[in-house]
Amino acid sequence: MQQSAQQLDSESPTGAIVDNQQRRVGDVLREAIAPGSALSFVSAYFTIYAFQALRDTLEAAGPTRFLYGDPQGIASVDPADEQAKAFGLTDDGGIELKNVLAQKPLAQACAAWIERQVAIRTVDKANFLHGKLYHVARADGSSAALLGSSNFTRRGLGLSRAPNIELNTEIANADERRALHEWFNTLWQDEALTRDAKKEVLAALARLGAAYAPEFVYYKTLYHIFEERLAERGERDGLLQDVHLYDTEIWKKLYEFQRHGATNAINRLLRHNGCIVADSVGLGKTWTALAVIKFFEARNERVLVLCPKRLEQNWARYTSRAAQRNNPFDKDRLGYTVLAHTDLSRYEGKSGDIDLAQFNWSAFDLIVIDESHNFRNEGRDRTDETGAVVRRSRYNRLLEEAVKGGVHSKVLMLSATPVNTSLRDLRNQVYLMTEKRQDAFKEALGIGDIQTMFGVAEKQFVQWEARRRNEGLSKESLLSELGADFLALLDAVTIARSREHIRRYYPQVERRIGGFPKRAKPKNLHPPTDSEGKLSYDDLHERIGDLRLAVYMPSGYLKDKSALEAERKKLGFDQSTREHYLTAMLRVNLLKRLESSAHAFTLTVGRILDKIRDIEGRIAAWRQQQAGGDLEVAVEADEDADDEEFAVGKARRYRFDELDVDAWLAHLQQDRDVFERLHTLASQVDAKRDAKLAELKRLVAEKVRAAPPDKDGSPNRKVLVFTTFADTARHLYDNMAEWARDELGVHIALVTGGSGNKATLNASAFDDILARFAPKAQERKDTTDPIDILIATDCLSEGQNLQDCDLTVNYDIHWNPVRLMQRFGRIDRLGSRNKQVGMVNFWPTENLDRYLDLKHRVEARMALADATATGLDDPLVDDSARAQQAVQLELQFRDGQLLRLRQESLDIEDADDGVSMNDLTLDDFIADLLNYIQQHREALEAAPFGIYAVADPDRVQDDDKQSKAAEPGVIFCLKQKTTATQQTPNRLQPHFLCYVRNDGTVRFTFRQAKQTLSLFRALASGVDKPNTLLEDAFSAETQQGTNMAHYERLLEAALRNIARTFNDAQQRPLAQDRGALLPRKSEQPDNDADFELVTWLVLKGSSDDG
Amino acid sequence: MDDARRQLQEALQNALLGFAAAPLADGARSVLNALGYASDRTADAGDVDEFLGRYDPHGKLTAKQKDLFTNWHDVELIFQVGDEEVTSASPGGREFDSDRFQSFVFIAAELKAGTYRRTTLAEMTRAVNRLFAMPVVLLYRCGERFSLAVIHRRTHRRDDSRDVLEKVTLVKDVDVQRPHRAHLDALADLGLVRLVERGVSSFDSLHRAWEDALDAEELNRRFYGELFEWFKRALTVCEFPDDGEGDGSLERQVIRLITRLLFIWFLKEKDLVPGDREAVWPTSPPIAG
Repeated sequence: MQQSAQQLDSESPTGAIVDNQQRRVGDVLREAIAPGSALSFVSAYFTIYAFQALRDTLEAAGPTRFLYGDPQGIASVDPADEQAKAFGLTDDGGIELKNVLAQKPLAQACAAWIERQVAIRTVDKANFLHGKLYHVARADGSSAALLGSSNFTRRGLGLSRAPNIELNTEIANADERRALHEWFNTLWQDEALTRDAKKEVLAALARLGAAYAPEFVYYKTLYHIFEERLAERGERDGLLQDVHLYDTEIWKKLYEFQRHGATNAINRLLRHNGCIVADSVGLGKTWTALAVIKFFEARNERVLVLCPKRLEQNWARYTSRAAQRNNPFDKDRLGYTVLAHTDLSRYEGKSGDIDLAQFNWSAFDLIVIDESHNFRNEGRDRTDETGAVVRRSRYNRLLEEAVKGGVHSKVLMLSATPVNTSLRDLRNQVYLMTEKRQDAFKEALGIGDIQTMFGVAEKQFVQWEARRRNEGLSKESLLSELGADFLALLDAVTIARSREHIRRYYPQVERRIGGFPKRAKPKNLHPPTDSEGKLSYDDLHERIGDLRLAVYMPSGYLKDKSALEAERKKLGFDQSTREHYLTAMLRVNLLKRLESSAHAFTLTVGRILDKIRDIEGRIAAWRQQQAGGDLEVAVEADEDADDEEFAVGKARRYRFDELDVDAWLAHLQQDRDVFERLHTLASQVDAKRDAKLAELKRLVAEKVRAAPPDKDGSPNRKVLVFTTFADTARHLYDNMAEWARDELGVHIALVTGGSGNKATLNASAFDDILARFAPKAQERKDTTDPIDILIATDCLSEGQNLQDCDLTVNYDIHWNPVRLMQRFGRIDRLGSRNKQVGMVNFWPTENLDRYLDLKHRVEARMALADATATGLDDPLVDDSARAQQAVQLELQFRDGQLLRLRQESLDIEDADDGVSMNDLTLDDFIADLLNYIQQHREALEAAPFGIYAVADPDRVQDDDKQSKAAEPGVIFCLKQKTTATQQTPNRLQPHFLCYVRNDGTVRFTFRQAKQTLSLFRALASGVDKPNTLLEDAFSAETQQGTNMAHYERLLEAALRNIARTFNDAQQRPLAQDRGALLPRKSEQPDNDADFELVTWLVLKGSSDDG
Repeated sequence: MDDARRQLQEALQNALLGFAAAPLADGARSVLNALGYASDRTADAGDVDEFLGRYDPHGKLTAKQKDLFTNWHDVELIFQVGDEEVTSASPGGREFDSDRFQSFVFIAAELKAGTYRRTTLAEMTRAVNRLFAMPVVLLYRCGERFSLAVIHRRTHRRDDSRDVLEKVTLVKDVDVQRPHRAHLDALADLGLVRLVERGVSSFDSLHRAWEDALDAEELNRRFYGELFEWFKRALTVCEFPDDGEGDGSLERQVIRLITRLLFIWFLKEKDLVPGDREAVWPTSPPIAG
């Protein structure tokens, strides 16, 4: 030892300079420090990895003093967090990522060393002490000293892959060494300049060396992944406080999840000008929107609410203008304007007290569109011969006048079902917020072209659908197919929460108001139409194709077909196509009417007969006068048929002399014969023979008498009956009113939209009827004389709160299952006091396969007709095969839903076969984090990077579908150091999640972030203490952290997989998106030096011996 | 020929010299760099099978088109040049206008030994472009031969999100050791700086400029233009001895000279002269601008 000291003194081969190139500081120290030496170090940094490199030497040394030369903002607001950073115990650029895996045992060893033999002090002022000094006083009295620039880090010591070039000199002169030592001693003892910091360092080391609970590691992971959003949240809080939103009546009324919904919506509106709230049915989207409206009104912005006509009252009643006695938000003085969607087609007349001719659509800062799926198609402007626009479609008028016109409006959309058949639906709604600018999200989300992005996503979706059918892929697999840009857009502008979400993340809501009612299994009934069996649905099925319906097909009798051909050339379809589809729909309508009731069917057949007779009469008159008679073929859709599904282009005018009148007359007469027979048959089925009516009465009587008690013990007699057709509704009411009042002693009412409302007591106003039927849900405690039976058309199936009732009856089946779910959603709502809610379905035939088959056949044609007639922008001419395929898929889906509806009550977002928006977004995890962070923010912030926990994979086997997914292995969360400047294939950029199994295969790549997070949650949620058994097993397996080879291999496998997956995924858009750009090489994660390890979760089975 | 152009040609010639021996990606990159195109937007294309698997997962290509790739020995995605890259490479840092195209992708293919017909290379270019949403420029290497191809893309008439592929233009079989003067000329015309100076301001116009530069008709037109310039100059400097037949104006004699030179050039190009080429032919072609 003496000798080596001599060497230091005199024989340095390159003189006294130690620059980490020729000689490394670490080596010099190793040589200089003899066992028992007293050490005095000054450095700005100290890392456990530097300790690791010199561990043996340091542990063998004697008492050690370490003086921090730079306390980096040690006196910050949040001491816990800043300390970890200031002491930078792991902040060592010189280590390889895999070294971090052994961070915990290393921190423990380091802490033990410090505890035993190290004193630590720090200077108090930043930048106060720049010099670095290593002084060694050996037991034999000799000494060594190194002075210069090297920090006590791997890099500083020259022991890393890429060591710093440093400039240190060995002090050869003993006097100088002594002087340095004295200088050190002076500083060390100066209480004014330095202070003891050992405790703080030990605390920081304890955090690094602690065993963590899986749950904590899960939240730590979420905390970093969603860091940016949390920051936004903080800013937004201030905004909401500024306008005193928290003090408003509406805010006080909201449940917590609705508040979250509202604040998120406000944030999205401020940031991206738009937001689609797609919470599922029954979560109170209206009230959530009211809070958003209140926020903007408080900022003096003007708000327009556009809703379906039948919901106008629903919205208007909350405004102060309406001055309603029972407006719960009277004090908030809401001042928005309410108009109906249909008002967009009107240019004059009045809507409420608004004169539409004078109405300025451009005057609004925020437009709220309720049931915004009504704007999923752009529609077609009406043009004159020159092609000039005469009248805009509703969509275009909304876009051009309301959104683009005047001030640039923000758009809030509400819909439980924003996507009906294709992602194009969603795109068109997104256009409303971007003013159809394709590059509107270029800056914020890195989406160059919205149209292309949706086109690509749609393609991916269709391909995935096809594969799923053939290969049985899981729903989750879609996520890794879709582009990160698409998912980023969803995250940025939508809020989509399911009931399951509320149940899971807002248990307090459940506790406070009892949450959602239980759903009883649906009851399925098949009463015949005619108790005598003369008129049957099955018979009509058979013969429906025989009906020619010539009265609606004049184009078939045109003498000169050349005009048709010209039209076909131009548009890809012509008048005869339109008429063809029209008749197809009429056939469907006949079946649907018969399915509904013999009464409704009779009326329809009567109307068709009138039409035939009218045409026959006009032809006769024309023949007598030989005058040029004009004929307009316009088929009115039935008054309450869903107008969207019946829109088939516009009528054409014919002149009789254009037509082969003789042939037409002959066919008209054939039709008339058939319809007359049908009419006679159907009109004989009166109320007495009406078996469906009888069944309904039996059902209602049973319910009224049984009156099951609700949670508060009050008996519930209420029944809500839905039918598609107003004619049927009236028929039911007319035949049940007296019976209900006199025999059952309850009031009954009819709501059909428009002016057809009736009740057995003095109440015919829509509002009044609803208030009496559902006083609690409608917040109308002042009502007397309750109505217990309500018969309604689908005008009531959206947007109403009727959860006082606990039983719905579908008197006929709407072919769109979404409609059926919406109907049920009226009573299956949050806040229901009923123990359970039920649904009864009346099916037209027991032979359901046959029913679906027919439905399918006609409907396929209908959907195609719809697509052709409404002129979607993807011309069918080009791609009819693809369009047909899409239609088929949609119909299969609908069939599946209807079939399932016989077994259970569906959620719209539910079902393995359907994909809804909340399958795609990460809202669940953010909500989860927000709950946790209220109590644990400080701990999450203080916890260092690189922490891990050990979890038991067997935990998820019982109740979770992912049982197979959870096999022993590791879930890594890594953070890319360079921030990418554009959208990359990684949705969580810059964070990467990767789940590697023990054999090195990757189960979930970073593209499957949502699956990984779900699994993470399943493994960790509720496990709020470290599992000591597993920790011990892990410790034994890794020999107390000294042998991490297995886990290093898994980390390497994860990194390889990230590089490979990224490389592949970044290239795929080049094939589809004209504007796609590869990320720069420097931003691609292809090197382990690009990453930090945020957290890792070890999945280690209790039976697993490593 | 101005200095800049001469420098460009020299740089190009150097890059070509190294092209044959270098790894495919490096060689191709330095040729493109010589022309002023550079970008660090790149990705690992993998081998030919991987490349096809990634870019044609749903079997868009016909069997015949797929078959073309059996001639491919290797493939490299050299880089993608986007707006930022041209901006930083072009003088004055002028930004490109946003247009239909927003980038070029450069892909290099190593062909198996053999000779390839023009139509084969054209078909390969077409097949690759079918798989990409933006223009792809193909660089082919086959031994000491280098070819470069670009295809005309126009918007689909009914669906403007799609392109229709039309004519392929290409420079074929550039001899990297002894590049032909006309080849160098054509390639030099692709130089980014020059094109930007000439008013190219978007990827669409850049694409058109590339097609023009490589177009054979355009080349011919220019060749004859230059020939005519030479002819006019020759009239001012040439003197011909009187051969006694007294049959010609100066013009006629110059034309005769040119046709003879062209004939000899043809013999040389077709390797019809036996013996040591270098001994017979001086290094530079006789027509100089």
